[in-house]
Amino acid sequence: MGAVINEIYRIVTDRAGFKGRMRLAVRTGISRTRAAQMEDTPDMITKFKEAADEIVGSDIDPYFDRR
Amino acid sequence: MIKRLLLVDDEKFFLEGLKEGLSEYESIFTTDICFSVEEAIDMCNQIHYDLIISDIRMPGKSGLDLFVYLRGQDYRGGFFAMTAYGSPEVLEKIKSLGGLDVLLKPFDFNWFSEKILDFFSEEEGVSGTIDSIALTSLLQMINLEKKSLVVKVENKTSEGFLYFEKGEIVHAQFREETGEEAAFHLIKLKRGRFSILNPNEKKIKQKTIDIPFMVLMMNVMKMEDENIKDNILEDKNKNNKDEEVNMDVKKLNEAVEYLKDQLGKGLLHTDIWSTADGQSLAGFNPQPKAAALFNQLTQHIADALHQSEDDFVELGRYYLIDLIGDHMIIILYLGDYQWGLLFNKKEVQLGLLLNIVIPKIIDIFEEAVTG
Repeated sequence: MGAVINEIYRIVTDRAGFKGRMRLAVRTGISRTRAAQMEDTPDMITKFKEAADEIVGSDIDPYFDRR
Repeated sequence: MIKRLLLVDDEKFFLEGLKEGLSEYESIFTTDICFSVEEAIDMCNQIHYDLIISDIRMPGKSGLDLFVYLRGQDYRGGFFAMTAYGSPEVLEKIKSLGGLDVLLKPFDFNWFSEKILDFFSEEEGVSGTIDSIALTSLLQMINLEKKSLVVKVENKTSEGFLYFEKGEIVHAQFREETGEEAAFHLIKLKRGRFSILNPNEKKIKQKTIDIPFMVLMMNVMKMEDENIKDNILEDKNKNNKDEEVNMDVKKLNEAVEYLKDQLGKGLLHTDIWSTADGQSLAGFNPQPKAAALFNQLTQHIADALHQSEDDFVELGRYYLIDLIGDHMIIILYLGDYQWGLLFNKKEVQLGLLLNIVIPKIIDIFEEAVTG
């Protein structure tokens, strides 16, 4: 559960450090731990991705681990 | 106005030597000498001396008799006693008289002249023209010396005051502003003059600043840097209302407890502080000065990387410094917050810390910022 959100968290931490990760958590109001327990709904993914794109400063799609 | 100094000692050659040596300061003070207390009393009845330095043990009346006499005459200048007999009994007697500084002989002439210059400087007040370096250096000196005084800063249109208590700025006033904002504007003034006032001359009405001097100065320095200011503005524009944080301090303490459990005696200090003002939020054996130092260092590192020509790197999750004496420090860079850990590298497995403990405490920290 929450695999996509978890992956977004990973990308943001890689690309923008803990600083970026904290911004993501504050912007969405959902911590990584809590996100891991939630369903990856389309609304939730959109919300996280938009925030992540802005924090990283570019589209995060290329960084997704597709395995 | 040129000050007047009187030296009293029965050792004629010693006094004449001092007078000759002090003649290079004639633009600041003139020096008269006399060889007995009786003679000194006569001279004091004719001339006001700003400072009198007298030997204690002399034939006839002693230097202490002179001090007691002058005090009875409502003498308002300074008085230093010189003695080569610094026995506890003598010093105790001197102390019991109150308000008396003692110079133990033999002394170095340069030290002696500095002592006199210091006295006149304090009495007259130090003043100078502002350039940012001179003013901040002066403030740092006041902090180091733990002085209680008031620094007046003025330019053509306005004036302000920085109130020091034991080296800490406790109040600032500039135009209609008070507190940290006033301090920022005063310290950042580029043109004008500063002078030091006696705290009794400008009494403090209220204390409006309670952050440590180092943190205050660091914040001022940060504001001075235009690039940083731009970054702050940029960040402010980026941040919207839903990025406001209501920190759950209980959770932070939970994270600190977890860290203590995991690192045991290997953990020496830890502190979580706000990047904006260096204020500690939670910690174990917290060291405010170290937090201020590393807050500044993080800013330097982040700026240096951000402004690097290639612009290919930014400060990531943390930086780690190997220190002498088996110590190591790791600073977790959390944006608006930072978390410093000082630990004994012989007691802590670095792999465990980086791969297990830190991810866990970051999870807890994240829960603290998201409520």
